[in-house]
Amino acid sequence: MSRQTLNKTLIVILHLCGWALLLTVPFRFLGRSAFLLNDRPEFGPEPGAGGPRPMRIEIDPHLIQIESIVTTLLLAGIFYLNLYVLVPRVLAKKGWLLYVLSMVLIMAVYLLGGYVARIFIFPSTEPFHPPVFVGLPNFFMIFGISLALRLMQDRGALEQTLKEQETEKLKSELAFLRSQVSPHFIFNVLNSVASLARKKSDKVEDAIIQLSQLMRYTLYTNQKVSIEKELEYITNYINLQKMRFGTSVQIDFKVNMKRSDLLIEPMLLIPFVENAFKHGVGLITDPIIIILLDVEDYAINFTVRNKFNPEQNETKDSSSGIGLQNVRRRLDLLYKDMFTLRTETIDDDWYVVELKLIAS
Amino acid sequence: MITCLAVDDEPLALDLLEDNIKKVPNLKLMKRCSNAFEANEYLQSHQVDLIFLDIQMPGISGIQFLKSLYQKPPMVIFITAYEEY
Repeated sequence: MSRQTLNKTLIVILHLCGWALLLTVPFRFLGRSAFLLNDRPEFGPEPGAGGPRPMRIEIDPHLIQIESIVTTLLLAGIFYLNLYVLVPRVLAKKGWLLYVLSMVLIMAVYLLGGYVARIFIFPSTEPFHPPVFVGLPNFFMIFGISLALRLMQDRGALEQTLKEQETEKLKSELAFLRSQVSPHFIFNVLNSVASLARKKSDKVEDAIIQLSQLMRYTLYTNQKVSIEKELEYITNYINLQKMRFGTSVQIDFKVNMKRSDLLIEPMLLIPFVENAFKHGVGLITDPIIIILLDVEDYAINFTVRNKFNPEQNETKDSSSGIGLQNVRRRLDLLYKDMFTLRTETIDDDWYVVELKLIAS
Repeated sequence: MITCLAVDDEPLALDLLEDNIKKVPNLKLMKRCSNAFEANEYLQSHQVDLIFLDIQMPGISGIQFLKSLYQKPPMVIFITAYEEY
């Protein structure tokens, strides 16, 4: 039996037990209450009243049993009526006023029915005619319980929907953030490839293949990847950058991979490398970029250092700012407290970014 | 004959630019520069009619570079891959 059907069956059994319990109550206390009733002074002789009053009241136990069974069944009906019809359709859609009115209506029908039943079906020997069904307190109690139950159920369902919406929102935010890898880079690379093609260089083919691999990764990766794949991507990127800048940039890329199947969020490390190329190349005498990737059993350490020119003005490249912001946001979303991200400037011309994270 | 200067930080891009300029009969490339600093230095002692300028170079933007030129700026053609410009 699936978990859902098991749950539903349990609930039905619970309901049935509840009503069965209620049904048997009068049978257990019947004997006692009959005697208690007889002991009440109201039913004794009144001083000075004319005519003898019967000392004992004839209570037909069968009658009471039937009455209580009928009452319980009726109350059960009202319970489910409220639970499945009144609260969702009247209260939720038409408001409290109509709901209270309908409750009063049902109560009236309940009482009226009781009186009618007393008069025509179960005539009693009493001078007063109490309604057949057990009185109002039970009615209100049943109504109250089913109302509370239904409201709780609805509340739970609402919270569930809200939670799902929140998850969907996070998913699409992540997808968007992932897709924000620099398109300008691709145009720049294509320009370089065009230049190589003009020279009829042998390097054209390699460049095109590496670019295609890079784009494939960027476009189609949408879940955690092995650190090995991410390394491939970073290496592709660095090779293409080397092609653009020629020998003018020295790139030192060291990798220590104790474990190659560790999973990591894709395109998380590349913004640091992008930044290093953006700020570490250009107005610098001997540009140099040092990248270190250290993979252990459960942790990944990634450090990027580059020389930069402290005098240079920040180029109006808004996308570099977004790059680091983007990374921080994704780290917060996906790694919560399992990471540290540190940036540092050394000697006024070295910029260091260090990311440590605990992966699974 | 229009004398020109080409400024771009990427060697391959500069190669392509130089080749394109060669293909236009009226243009003559006087100097290739890999950054704004080099270009500025050249322009201290030489004059050109036209500058081919990469707008997005690390360090200084093409526009800032132009503003830093002291003499009357020559004609400029901007080169860019960025849509924002």
